Amino acid sequence: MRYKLFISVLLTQLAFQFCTGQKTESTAKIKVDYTMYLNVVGTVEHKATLKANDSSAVYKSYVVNRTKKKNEDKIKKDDRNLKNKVTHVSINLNKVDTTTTILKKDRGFLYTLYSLQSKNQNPYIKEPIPDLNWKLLSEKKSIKGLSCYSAKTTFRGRTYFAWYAPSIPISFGPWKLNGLPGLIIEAKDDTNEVIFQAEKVSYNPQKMDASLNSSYGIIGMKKHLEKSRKKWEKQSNDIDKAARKVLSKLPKGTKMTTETTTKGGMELNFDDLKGK
Amino acid sequence: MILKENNLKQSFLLFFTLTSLLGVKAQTSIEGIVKNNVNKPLYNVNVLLKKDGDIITYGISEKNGHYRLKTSKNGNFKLVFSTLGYQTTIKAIIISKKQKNFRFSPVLVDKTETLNEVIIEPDKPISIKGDTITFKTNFFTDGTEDNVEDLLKKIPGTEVDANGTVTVNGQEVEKIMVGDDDIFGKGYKLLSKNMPAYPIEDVQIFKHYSNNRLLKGVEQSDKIALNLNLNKKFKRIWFGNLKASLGNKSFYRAKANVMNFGKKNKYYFLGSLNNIGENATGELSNILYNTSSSIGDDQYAQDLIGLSPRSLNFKKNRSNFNNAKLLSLNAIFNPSDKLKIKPLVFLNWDKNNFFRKTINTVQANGSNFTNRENYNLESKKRIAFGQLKLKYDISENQTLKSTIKYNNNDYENGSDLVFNSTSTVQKLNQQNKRFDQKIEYTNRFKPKKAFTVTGRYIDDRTPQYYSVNKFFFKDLFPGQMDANSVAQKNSDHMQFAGINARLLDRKKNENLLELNVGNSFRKDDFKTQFSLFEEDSLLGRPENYQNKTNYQVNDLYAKGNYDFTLDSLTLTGSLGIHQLFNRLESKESTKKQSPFFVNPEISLSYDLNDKNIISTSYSYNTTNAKILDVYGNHSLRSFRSFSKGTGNFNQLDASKFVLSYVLGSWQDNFYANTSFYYGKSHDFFSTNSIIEKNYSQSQKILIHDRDFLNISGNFNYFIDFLSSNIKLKLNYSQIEFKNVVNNSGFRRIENKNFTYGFQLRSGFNEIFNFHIGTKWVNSKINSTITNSYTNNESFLNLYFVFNDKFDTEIEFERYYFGSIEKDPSYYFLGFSANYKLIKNKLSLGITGKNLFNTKTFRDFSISDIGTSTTTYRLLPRMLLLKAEFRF
Repeated sequence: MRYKLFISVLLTQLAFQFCTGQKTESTAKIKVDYTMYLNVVGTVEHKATLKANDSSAVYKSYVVNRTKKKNEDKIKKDDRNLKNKVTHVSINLNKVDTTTTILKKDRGFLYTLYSLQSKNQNPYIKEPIPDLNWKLLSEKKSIKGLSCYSAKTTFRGRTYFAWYAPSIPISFGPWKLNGLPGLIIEAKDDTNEVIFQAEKVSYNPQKMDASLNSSYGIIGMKKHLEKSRKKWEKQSNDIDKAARKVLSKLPKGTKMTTETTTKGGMELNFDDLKGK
Repeated sequence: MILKENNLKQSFLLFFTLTSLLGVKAQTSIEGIVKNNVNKPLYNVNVLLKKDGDIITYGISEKNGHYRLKTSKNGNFKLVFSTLGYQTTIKAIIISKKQKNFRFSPVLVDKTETLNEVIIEPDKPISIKGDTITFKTNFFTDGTEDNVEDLLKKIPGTEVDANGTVTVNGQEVEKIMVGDDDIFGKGYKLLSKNMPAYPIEDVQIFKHYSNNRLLKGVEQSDKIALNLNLNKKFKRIWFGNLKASLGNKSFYRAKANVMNFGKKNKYYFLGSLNNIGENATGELSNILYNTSSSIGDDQYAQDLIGLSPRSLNFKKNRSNFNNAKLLSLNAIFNPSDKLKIKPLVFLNWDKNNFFRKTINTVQANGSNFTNRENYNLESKKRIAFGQLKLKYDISENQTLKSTIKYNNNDYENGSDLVFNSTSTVQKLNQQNKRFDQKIEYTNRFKPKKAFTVTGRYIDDRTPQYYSVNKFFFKDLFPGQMDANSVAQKNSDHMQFAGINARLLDRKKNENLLELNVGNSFRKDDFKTQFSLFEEDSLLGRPENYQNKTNYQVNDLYAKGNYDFTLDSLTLTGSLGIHQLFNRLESKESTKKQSPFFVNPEISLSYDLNDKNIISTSYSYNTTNAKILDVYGNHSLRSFRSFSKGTGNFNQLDASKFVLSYVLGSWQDNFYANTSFYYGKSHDFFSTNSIIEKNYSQSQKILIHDRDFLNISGNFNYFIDFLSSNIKLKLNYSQIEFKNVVNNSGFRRIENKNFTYGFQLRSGFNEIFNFHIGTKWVNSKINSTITNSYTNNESFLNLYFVFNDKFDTEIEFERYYFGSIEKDPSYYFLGFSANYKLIKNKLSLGITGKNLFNTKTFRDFSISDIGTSTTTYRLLPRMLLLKAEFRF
């Protein structure tokens, strides 16, 4: 007999929701509706909207469908888990359910706001607009009549494959993905945990709010990561110990393999920020 | 050294200069400023360098309209400028080796006509509908997936470990179906490891899965199941695997799984052979295993005589000299969307040999003797089993299911026995024919309410013919001095018919009400015919040793169950009301009885907090006597014993109380699990026996008040600096009852068992882990005499998991018998190593069993009339080379 212990650590579960408190408004040249699937723990389907003009882009999204996740914080029903020979330890370090991404190309910065649905207490996280260094690939395909080209990049621990349409000439895309010569119609990472699909593009000029709510405050990405790292170090010790405790309580004649996955939501590392 | 370093630096410098020169030479730069017709620089304009429709490189204009792109290619290109609100401008450009720098500063013209919107509506890779998530495989695969396992690894949230266990978000799946057809149940690895991935169009995950689709949401379930839907275009495929093991002394094991899947029909063939002591039908347990229980499940005809060894206090396959063969065919047909037909047949042959020597010492009320048996058994069996399942979906909310099972088993047993130096031959021929039909109708009349009506009919026969070529009963039959052999023909013909209606009602507050109303009828035709022979000529059939009993039990019942959950408190109450109509007919008399009784049960579970859970239950239960309790004359049960029932109706009343307490959880340093069980049988069957050296004779008698007590505790403590868990296990049980031996009057018997031991298991997150433990079993029986023993069992297991491809396990065991004077200790060593040679194709392994080549194993047991020492012959040292190949 063989047992399996899964340990997944969820650093951030990203889910987006419109934030309130619009102040200054500018005009978007284009509005793109996206569907976003996050399969980090369970499957969460989001609807998202990208609004952009020449100098900025605002990407906002909200959850429309979410599968229930079991055993969120501790092992429940030990016996049943043992019968299944699989034990799952999941630790959610940083529960977040709403986010907004604002890219200000003219200033060279990108602002992300993670907040809890009920109340926003987090500041905007500020970082330089990531240079994604896309590699153009030779594959082409037509997505519902739009001729699309393929490109590839590695960003924050995930390798993304994107399909962009030069016939829609904007260099923005969903979330932090930007910098291709055409709108990103479809993008996914190679683990299929993050998927974006454009549903509809409208060219009608409309209002967009790319301003920051000053009452939330701003924190630099490096500082933010330092804070998270401290929180994480405190926990990771406990996680390793939890694994040892479960393993050492197994019955005779059973083998156990442990698999620890640290799921930091969409971003798994921030190596690109080192030295900057 | 310094010189060398300098040289190195110089060569690097040279290298860099050369490459950068070459680079400069090859790169062409194109730049310029993009403006509109009022001379305003345009920001964010896409500039594409295209050749034959391919994009070679690109740039994006900055705030001041400046762009720059670089290429190392030569030839004819198009430079495309585009941005929202302006017409796309295209410039032709020829790049040759001569010109390095190009400058284009186009003026973009406003777009007059604009599109309002573009609707894309892409094919969804994932769709979530309630508890079903569907993944379109073509979105997730890249063509390198070989088998279903590989495919599932690509589906987000789904993981497959090195051993093939499939989990969805950490929970193991219940089954993997193909096109809603399930063949393997929990044995799904056979499918996921062997079936190719290419024909699968989508993968569905069902959460809160119920085996009966209509009971989903009504039944409580946290099971997860997977379903693989096949592409319509795909033709049927063959796949499967072969496993073979060969060892010393011509030990072998071989197994072939062959599957043929089409969209409508699916076939699965299994063939299996072994002579290493394994039960071949175990391979089918996942297929035959029925998860849902229904009326009639526990109804079987009774055997009287068995020559095969009872369950040993020891691993059975160590003493099972066998030669097993199994062949099975399984299929699923879907003639229409509504109808599903699942036939299954299997044939199983086995030839077993078993050797044992027993010394029985009896000390009971005037009988003091020692018997020695030297027993050699050879048995052959043939099992033929057929099953046909039909499922018809009448409508969205109604299903009709039917299951028909038939088996026909033949057993031939022959044993050579030396009983106190008398050589004896026993022969037992046995047949079992069983026909079982079940029909079930389910109707979900409201989203959270459903009822099921089940009807079942079973016909089961177990005729046995038993002969012994010696006569040990001279004292019982003083008139038959010439008899030198005995035989008995006996059979139980059981017929069962039952109907049950079940209502499940999930209330708005999620509490579940379950009601069952039904009637079951069981009839046993029980016959025994005992004969005395002199050589082959019949001497007689002694009266009082023949049975012809017809026993009928009709049970009209209603049962109710209600689960009540309030936060951390769960209360379950159940009540069964039974009106019985019993009829017992024998040669001598016909009796009738119609008892009425009520069986209540209440249980309570309370989660004080995350760390403390208390649960308790109390029940009062009345059970009706079974056929072997009610027949009235003696029947032969072995070469030297007779027994009989009470010859009358009886109901047995019992109450039981359970209390258990759990402190902590698996993730805590301290984790304890304790329970207390007390059962009182207000009435129970005991025996009134005559025990002599050559024979014994016992009769069931009804006695009041038997007490049973069990206390167990399991304490875990995780030692941080050793990274290991120490476990202390304690168990105490005590039973008190009475019986009669050799006309003694009631003898009070007290049996006390105390088991205690500890284990230490490492929890290293590394290659190596160990598990060591020992336990003592102390058993004591007080009757007119006192017998006791203390045995010890110890083990050491070492685990090495080097990587996903290679793992090893070593197992060492020691058994010690405190009451055996000569050779009280037995040692066993075994190991297994597995290596995956070619991923998904070929794996190799080696297994060693009984490496110390221990030839025999001796066991000591005690009873209220004496002690017995039994020596078993064991399978010798075995080394097996294994190979598994997939096709």
